[in-house]
Amino acid sequence: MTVSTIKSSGGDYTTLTAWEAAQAATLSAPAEAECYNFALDDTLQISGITTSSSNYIRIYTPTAERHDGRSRAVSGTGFRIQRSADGGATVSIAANHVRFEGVEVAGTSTSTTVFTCEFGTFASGANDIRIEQCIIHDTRTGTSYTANFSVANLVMALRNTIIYGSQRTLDCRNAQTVTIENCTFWRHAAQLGIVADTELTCKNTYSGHTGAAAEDFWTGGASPTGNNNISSDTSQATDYTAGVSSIAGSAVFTSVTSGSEDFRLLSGTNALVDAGATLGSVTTDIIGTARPQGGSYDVGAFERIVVASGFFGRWWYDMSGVGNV
Amino acid sequence: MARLLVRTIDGENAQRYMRGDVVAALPDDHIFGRMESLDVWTKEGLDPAKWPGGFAVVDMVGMTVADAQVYTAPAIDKRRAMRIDLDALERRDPAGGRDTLRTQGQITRTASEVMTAFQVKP
Repeated sequence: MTVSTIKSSGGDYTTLTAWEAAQAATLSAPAEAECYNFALDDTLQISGITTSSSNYIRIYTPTAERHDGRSRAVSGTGFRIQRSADGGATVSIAANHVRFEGVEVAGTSTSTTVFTCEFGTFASGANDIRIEQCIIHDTRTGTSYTANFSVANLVMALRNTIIYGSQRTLDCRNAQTVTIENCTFWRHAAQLGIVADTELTCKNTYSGHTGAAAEDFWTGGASPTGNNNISSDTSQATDYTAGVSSIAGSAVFTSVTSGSEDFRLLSGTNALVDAGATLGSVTTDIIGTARPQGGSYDVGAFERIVVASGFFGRWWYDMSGVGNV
Repeated sequence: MARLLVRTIDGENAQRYMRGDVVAALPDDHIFGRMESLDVWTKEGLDPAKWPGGFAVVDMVGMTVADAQVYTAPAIDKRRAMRIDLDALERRDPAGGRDTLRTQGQITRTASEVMTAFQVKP
């Protein structure tokens, strides 16, 4: 294993682009970029590298350097890769085995698709893209997607990840298999959320938006599978609604206001708490809190912390008033 | 002033960075990492002979970072649409600093000198 540090100063590299450029075209061991607490204006393209299930690319932030489940712009902490220029994605992947963990990926222009997998680059049955405990968001004004995974043969998993923006959230049609578990998706406009067909299995995930009616789980053809999902709007004919209940985001999240997004779960009665299914592949939340905290998994990227008190017969209470603070 | 981080070796396939590709354009107060800059590597007390290499720093006097970003533009089938002729750039030093790229991994030139050394890839 080769681990390189990405730091604003004092590390091996100051940009992920340079780190990627220095990697061998064929990996003989995992190539890992350990990213520290700073904001990096960069455009990362991962391509021309032969990976395998044991020799993969991993880009991660150590626990002590990570976001707290909110954008660095809100919390002031965590590693953030952002692209401020128009055109091109902040992160684009054209390698078969890539993992992102604990990283914030942002687009701060009006036209940047933030996270994308490139067309025609994935081998059938031989790829594995994982995005876990990440925050992905943008400020685009055009109607494309914050994340585009609509690529043939792609096998991808998103877990404990938050995606938000002003336009469509993600497209995974045409992919081979996409697994979404315990994620939170939000749009600051009446735009499509998850756009998927049969390739998608989605569980314990919330997708919502503000504004007029729009599909939070859009399916134009054959429906995805999944369970224990919640959206803010199930009214549209092309919504995937099987087992999906409708809950307004403002009723369950700390803030859905643009620029101060905070998807930690509100205290008190909350429809997302204990509303999820037990998932063997998800044992913590976006910031490492063990799941479940209550009787069952919570829906979305956060698990609300409860602590047994034992006083006066009151067995459970919310420690802080806001989940996971 | 803009600082360009330039690849100095060819990648193994067409999808990788090639010699002369600008990997990043950064402001003049940017301090690179030890794997990006021989100068940083050396200042940390590490043996210059053991620097992995692969990068050079080109300081462009008189060009903003925003303007220098044009050199990081990709082409359809290449990482970069343009490349800088590092050998030509080095030969432009009239004051005897001809070997700074090879020996120190960095060089300072005026914006016009650097712009002249850029070529659009075929």
